[in-house]
Amino acid sequence: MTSCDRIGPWLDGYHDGELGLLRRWWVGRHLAGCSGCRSELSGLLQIGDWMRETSAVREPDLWPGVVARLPSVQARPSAVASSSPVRRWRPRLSTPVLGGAFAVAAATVLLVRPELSTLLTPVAQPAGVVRSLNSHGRPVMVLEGQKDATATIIWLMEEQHDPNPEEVADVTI
Amino acid sequence: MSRSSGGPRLRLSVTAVLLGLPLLLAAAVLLLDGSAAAQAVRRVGLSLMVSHASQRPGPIDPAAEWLDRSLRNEFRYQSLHVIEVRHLDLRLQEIGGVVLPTGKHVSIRPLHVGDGGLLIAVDIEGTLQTDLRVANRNPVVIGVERYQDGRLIVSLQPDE
Repeated sequence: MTSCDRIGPWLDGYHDGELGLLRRWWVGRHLAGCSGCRSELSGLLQIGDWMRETSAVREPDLWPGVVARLPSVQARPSAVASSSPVRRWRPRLSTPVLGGAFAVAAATVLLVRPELSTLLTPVAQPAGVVRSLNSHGRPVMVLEGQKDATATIIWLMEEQHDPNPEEVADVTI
Repeated sequence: MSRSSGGPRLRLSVTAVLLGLPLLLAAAVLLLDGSAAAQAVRRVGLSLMVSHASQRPGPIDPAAEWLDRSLRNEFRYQSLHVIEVRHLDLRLQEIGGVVLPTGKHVSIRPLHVGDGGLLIAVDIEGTLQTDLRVANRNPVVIGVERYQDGRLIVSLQPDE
């Protein structure tokens, strides 16, 4: 029995999102290295798309009718805003003065604490619980907790080969 | 008339506020730096539990009921018992840990505490090195290695 024979019965469930986390991980791992099973899965996806297209009913476009029934709203005159004194001088203040003030403030901070320059460099924050992982070449399964207070599971696998479905159905500890 | 006399005064006060904002920001940054220094001496608490899931029929240890709830849908085992529970109270960068029954050391080192939770480095001797960002009370379960007729499991849970 090949590994494809073992994984094959799970492809439907994988496609429909019905597999448990662990089985899903095993199937995903197999798919990553098996073009035959990937094309079988892609066939399932195409069937799903075709089913959706043929069963879809075109909704009538109601928006033009809604727009036609809306009362017309006149735009507010802009004369009041343009006559405000604040409005008149704001553009003059904005760019150079504020920019200079921020530059002086930043220079002051860096003068006092030069090591804080790292704060000015944006650092990409990866999402998720596991930020880095080295399992020394052993296969490892990571199931990140989906909700608050759910456990994140990191499972170091013993075997490199694909499992027997009966074993994986309820993976022996 | 009144509008022309009020304009310059308003302009002056708004200018003062806008120029003062960056200075306030600078003061806030320096203050935050102080809190970063304070973080270095901050202590973090976390529970470290070593348990053994086994194929041998037996009970589920009451202390591991939450662990059983996390694992039973994914793995097949007959019993689960807690080998050791240790509460660690560590400063940032301080290393704490436990020794597994197999003799391997498990080292835990808190790296940072932030809005996203506690960043910790976990090192299981010769087996696994990982950095984890763990939110308060959210457990991390690590299935480490085979032991007797089952598997050793290390779980971590930061205090609130």
